[in-house]
Amino acid sequence: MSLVVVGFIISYVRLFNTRKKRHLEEKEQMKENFHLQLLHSKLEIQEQTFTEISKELHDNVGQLLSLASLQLGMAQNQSIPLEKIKQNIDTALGDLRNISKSLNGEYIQQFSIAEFLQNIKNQLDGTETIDFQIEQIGERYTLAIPKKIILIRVLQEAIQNIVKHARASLLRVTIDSSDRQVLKIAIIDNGVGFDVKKAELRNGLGLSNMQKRIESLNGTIEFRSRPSEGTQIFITTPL
Amino acid sequence: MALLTISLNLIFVTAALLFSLLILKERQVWKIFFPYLLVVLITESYGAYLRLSGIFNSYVYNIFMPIYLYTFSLILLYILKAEKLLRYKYLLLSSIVLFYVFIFYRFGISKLLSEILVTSNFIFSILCLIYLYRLMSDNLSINILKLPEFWIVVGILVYSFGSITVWLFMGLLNTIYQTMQLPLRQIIMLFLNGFLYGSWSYAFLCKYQQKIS
Repeated sequence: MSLVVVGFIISYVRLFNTRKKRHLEEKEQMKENFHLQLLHSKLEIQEQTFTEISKELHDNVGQLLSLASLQLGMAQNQSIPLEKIKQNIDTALGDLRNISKSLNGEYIQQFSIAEFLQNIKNQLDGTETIDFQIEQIGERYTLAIPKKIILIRVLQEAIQNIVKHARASLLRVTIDSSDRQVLKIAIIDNGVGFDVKKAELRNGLGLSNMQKRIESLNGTIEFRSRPSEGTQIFITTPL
Repeated sequence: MALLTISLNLIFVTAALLFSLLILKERQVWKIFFPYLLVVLITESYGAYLRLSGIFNSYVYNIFMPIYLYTFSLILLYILKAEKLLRYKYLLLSSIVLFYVFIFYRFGISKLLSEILVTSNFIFSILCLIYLYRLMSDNLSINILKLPEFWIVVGILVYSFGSITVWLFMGLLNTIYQTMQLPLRQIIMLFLNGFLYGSWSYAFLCKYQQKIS
């Protein structure tokens, strides 16, 4: 009987080691997959960033510099005053600086979320196309820098979408930290809206990107919108 | 033959006692091994002395039995991480005493040792199997052969199963002894003691290595 038990123990150890080997192989495989996914995501984000930079340069700076070049050509014929050309080049330089700042993580991390929003508001106020309102409820909290950068990037993307596509006349961002445990941010506009389900399926407007970023903070993001009924975005994240 | 088995038994216990010095400063259940093994050594030595002197020695083991039950229960409950039960040590001790008294009244002094050993070793074996089952399903990333708890449990499992068998087939073993003059029971118990204290000694060594590495 004792020898049977000893035999049982030996079989148990062998079975345990076989399962352990399989478990370790699976773990290794999962680790490899994770690294591959991480690399894939990094490349995706990098690619997206390059596309954004390219678009911004083409749409703003490129346009202004092309115009300035055209005007210089016309200036040779003395039909355009040089002052006008200088103004366009200055605007292009200003835009270039803004793009550079908005992409620079080190630059944006010196601002609080409210201050960052205020900067965007100042820029938008100059265009006189949209009424940008910012509301802060509750005490201001110091967020960890990585968390703040992620939140700012999401806000940046959401506001950029509204400015570019929503044709809204009103944009309101509310930052609510009255809960002390949770930070709630609401971004509301009165623009043309969009079909959330379709946009999610096509990953249009970077919704899934925003979602992934907020999920990485253990938070949630909710998009509510319908065509011609404006858009509401609600972000909740632990403080 | 009797002298040989007694001597080997005492050597096994002494070796385990010396190895338990390695974990003397450990906390929780590990600190009870040294005093327990010291009690075992004293009991075995006294029991052997009485036996060799031709004096009836069962009472020595009857007195030792509650200590054995209490210690093994504590060890297994600790290894099974049954913290809630471990909080009620006095309740555990009282239950063992009540169990002891119940068996005494139910079966009498002559069968006290065998009945208690069979019942308690059956429970201990079940607890050991629960541990092995949990280990297989919970934690697959450890080196099982270097796990002190595993060797403690393996020692108890083999000892408990073997003891049950010995006590269940006591009649047969006595017949073999009377007819063939072969002390099979002593040989099996020697093997079981050797396995138990050998496993424990190795477990203490693993525990000590864990501490210094």
